Amino acid sequence: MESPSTLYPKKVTLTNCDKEPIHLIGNIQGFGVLLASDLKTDRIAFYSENCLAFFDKTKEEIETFSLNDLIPEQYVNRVKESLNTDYKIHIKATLSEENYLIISHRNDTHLILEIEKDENQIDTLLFQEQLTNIIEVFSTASTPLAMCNTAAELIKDIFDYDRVMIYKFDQDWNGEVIAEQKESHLESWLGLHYPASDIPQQARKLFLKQGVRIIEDVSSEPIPILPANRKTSVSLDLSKSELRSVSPIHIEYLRNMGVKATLTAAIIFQGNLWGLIACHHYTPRYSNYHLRLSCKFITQVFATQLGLRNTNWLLEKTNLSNETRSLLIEQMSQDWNIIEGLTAGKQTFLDVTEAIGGAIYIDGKIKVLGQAPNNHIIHEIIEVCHNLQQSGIYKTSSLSIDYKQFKSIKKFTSGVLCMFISPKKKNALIWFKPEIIQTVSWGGNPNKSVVKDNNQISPRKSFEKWSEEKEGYSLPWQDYEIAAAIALKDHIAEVIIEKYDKMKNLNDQLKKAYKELETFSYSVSHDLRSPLRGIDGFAQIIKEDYFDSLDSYGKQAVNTIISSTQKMNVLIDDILSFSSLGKKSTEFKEVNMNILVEEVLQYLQVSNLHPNTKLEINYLPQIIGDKTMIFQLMSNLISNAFKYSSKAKNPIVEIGCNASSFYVKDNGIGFNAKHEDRIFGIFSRLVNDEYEGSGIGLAIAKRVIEKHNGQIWTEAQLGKGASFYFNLNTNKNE
Amino acid sequence: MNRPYIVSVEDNRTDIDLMKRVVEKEMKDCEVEYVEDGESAIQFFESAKFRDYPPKCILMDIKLPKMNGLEVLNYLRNKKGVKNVPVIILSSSNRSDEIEETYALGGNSYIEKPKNYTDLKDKLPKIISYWLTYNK
Repeated sequence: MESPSTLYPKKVTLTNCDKEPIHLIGNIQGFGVLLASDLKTDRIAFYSENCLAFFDKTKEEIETFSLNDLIPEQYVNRVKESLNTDYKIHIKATLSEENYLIISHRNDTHLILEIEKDENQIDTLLFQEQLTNIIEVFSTASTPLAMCNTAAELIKDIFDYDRVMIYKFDQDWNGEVIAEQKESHLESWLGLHYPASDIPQQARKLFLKQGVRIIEDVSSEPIPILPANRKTSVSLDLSKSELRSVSPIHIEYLRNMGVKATLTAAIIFQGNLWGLIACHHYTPRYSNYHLRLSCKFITQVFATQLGLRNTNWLLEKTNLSNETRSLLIEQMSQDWNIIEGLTAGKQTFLDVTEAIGGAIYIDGKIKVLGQAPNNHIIHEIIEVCHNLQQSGIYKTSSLSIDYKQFKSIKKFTSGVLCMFISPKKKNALIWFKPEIIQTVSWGGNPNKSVVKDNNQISPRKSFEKWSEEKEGYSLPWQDYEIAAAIALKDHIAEVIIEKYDKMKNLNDQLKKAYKELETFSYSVSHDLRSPLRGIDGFAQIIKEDYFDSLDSYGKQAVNTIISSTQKMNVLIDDILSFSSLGKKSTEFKEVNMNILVEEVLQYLQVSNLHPNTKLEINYLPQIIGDKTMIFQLMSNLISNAFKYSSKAKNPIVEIGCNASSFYVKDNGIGFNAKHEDRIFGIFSRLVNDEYEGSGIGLAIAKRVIEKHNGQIWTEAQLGKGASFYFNLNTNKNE
Repeated sequence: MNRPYIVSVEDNRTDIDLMKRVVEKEMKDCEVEYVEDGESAIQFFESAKFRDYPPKCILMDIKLPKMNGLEVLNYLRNKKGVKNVPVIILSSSNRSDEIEETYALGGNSYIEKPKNYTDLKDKLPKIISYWLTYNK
C-alpha cells in the first residue's frame, strides 16, 4: 500500500488542509519543466509531463534515460556541482537554439533540475544602483514601520505587482497587513488581519526552506510529475522547488479573492518567520528567476535591517532594565529588606518591565505597587500562576479570557507575568499590564474562515472587512521583559541566601552571647550566696545576742537586714532556676497534671498562706513533658494567681483545661492587656512593690513553654484579674 | 583521752565564724578542727593526730583555693593505712556532675550549703550529730 508520509493524498479539503503535505503535491506550474535523477542510479526518476513535448521524447524513452541523454554533457557536468552544496545552482543553457536557465538543487535522494526560459534580465548596473538605494533607504528609515513602507514601495517599483503588502505574524500566527502599496483603483487592505489558518503551519515551514515563490496563474492547469518507474510508491520532495504547484485550497482561496498571480517572499530573522512580503496581481504574471532572486535579496536586506533595528531597540531596553536592576540590588542589600528594597526606592521592581502595577509576595506578606488588584485577588492569581508555572514562570496577556473569574479586574490586570522566587513557598514577583482595547479588522470574518457547500469545506468566499473589538488583552510580554524578570528573580534569590547567612551568623552569635550570659548569671548568683550568708548570719547573731541593747530603730534596722537578705535569696533562687533551664536537656515523659498540681499546691503551702482564697480545680488531662520544668511552670503560674488575687474581696483561683489549652485564672489585680508581650520578659514587672516578686517567674514559665514547643498567652484586664493559657506540643519520642 | 571531733575544711572566714557560733551554741560537747584550704587539709592528714585519732567526719567545701574539695577527697581516699573517714562535700551549686564525682571518689554525702543562717542553724547540728554517731 501507499505510505501516507511519502504520498500526496488524493483529495485535500480544509478539514485535512493543515496536515496537507504540500511538498509532496506531485504537480508543478507550467512556467518550466522538471527533471529529477536518482542520486544512486543517475537515471531519470521523475519528470514533469511537459518534458515530453519540451524534449520531444516519448514516455518510454525518458523513463530509461539518464540526464546526459536529454541535456548536453557540458551542462550536466556543471549542474552536478550542486550535488556538493545545499544551495541552488543556475546555469545558462542553449537548448534547441533557445536560451534557458537550468536551476538545479538536490534533496536526500534526487538531483532536481528545473528549466525555465531565460528572459532578458534586469540591467546589472541598474540593479546595482537599485540595491545601493535600497540599503540606504532602509538604513535611513526612522522606524521599523517606515522601513516596511519603504520595502513595500521598492518591491512595487521593481516587480510591478498590483498590490504589495508587508504581512506580519503575531504570536498566534494571525497575520496583519502593516504596510501596503497598491494600484489606486484597488481597495486598501492595510491594517486588516487574517487568521492563522489562512497560512497553515506546513506552508509556513516551506517558506523557511524556499524563501521566494510565485504563482504565475491560478487558473492554469497543474502539470503532473510522473515517476519513471510506474510502480514507485514515493512522491518527489518538492520543498525547495521553484516550480512546485501550490495547494488547491490556496488556489481556491486566491480565486475567491480575485487574485490571479502572486509573488511571496519570506521575511526571516533569527531563523523565525517574522512575516511575508506578499504581492498580488489581478492578471496572470510571471516573474523570472532573476527577478525572484532579486526579490529574495531585497527581502534579506530588509529582514537584516529590521532585525538590527529590533536588536538595537532590545539592547537599549535591556540596558535600561539592567541599570534598574543593579539599583534594586543595591537597595535590597542596603538594609537587607527585600520588599522595601524592591518597592520603596527611587526605582522599583516595576521599572524592569513595562508593567503599570505589580505585587511582591514573600512569606505571607503582600506588597503592591501601582495599579494592582486587592490582596485577596492577588492570592488567587498566585494560585492560578502556581498551577500553570513552568520553570517558575507564568505569563499571559489575557488573564480574564483564560480565567473568567478575573473579568472584573481586566482593565488594569489583563497581562500577568509571575515569577516564583521559591515555588515551594509560592514567594513570587508579579507584574501587571493593563487591557488595551483594540479594534481588529479582519479580511473576512475569521470565525467563518471556511464555508460548507456540497458537503465540502472550502475557504471563505467573502473577504469583506469585518471588525471586532478585541477586549481583555494587554500588550504582550516582550522577551527582554521576561529576561529582566528572570534576572531579577535570580538576584533576589542570591540576596535571600546572603541575608539568610547573615541572620544565621547573627543568630549564632546571639546564642553564644546568651549562653555566656547564662553561665555568668549562674556563677554570679552562686557567688552572691556566700556574702549574703554572712550578712544574714551576723544580723541573726545581733538579733540573738544583742537585740535587747538596741533601741527600737536599731531593732527595726536588724530586722530589715534579715528580711532583705531573704528577698535576695529568693531572687537568686529564681535567677538560678531560669538560667539552669537553658542548660538542662529536657526529659519528656507522661505527666499526670492532677497529681502535679496537688504537689505544687502543697509546695506553695496555699492552704496556710491563702486560707481565704477559693480554689477551683477542674479535670486536667495527662501531658507529655519534663516533669521538673512543668512543676516550675505551674508553681509560677499558680503562685502568681494566689499572690495577685490575695487582696481581692473574694479571691478565686481556677485551674483547668479547655480544648487543648491549660489555664490558670484569678480575679486579682490583672494588668493592662497592651502590656501582654512585656509580661513574659525577664525582670519585667507591671506591679509595684506591694506584691513581692523577682520579675523572673513568668520568664521561667515562658522558657519552659518554649522548651516544650508550646505557646503561652494571657487574657487580662486591669483590676479584673488575669488568665494565663498555655499548650504544649511534645511527643514522647522527642 | 581525746574527745571525738570533726574537721571542717572551709576557706570563707565568715562561714567559719558562723559555723563556730552554731557549734558553740547548739552542740556544746563537739569539737571542730578548722582547716582553711586544701593543702593545710593534706598536711593535717599527714599529722600524728590524724593517724592516731582520726576525726569522726570531714565537712569539706567544694570550692577551695589551690586544691578543690574533690581533689582533697581523692587524695585522702588514695592514702594508704587510713580508715575510711566519712567525707561530706558541701557545695552551693547543687550540680549533678559534682554529685556524681563526689560519690565516684568515695565521698559519703553531698549537701547543698545552707542558704542562710536559719538554714545553717537547722542543718549543721543534724549533719554533725548524724556523723558523730555513725560507726560508733
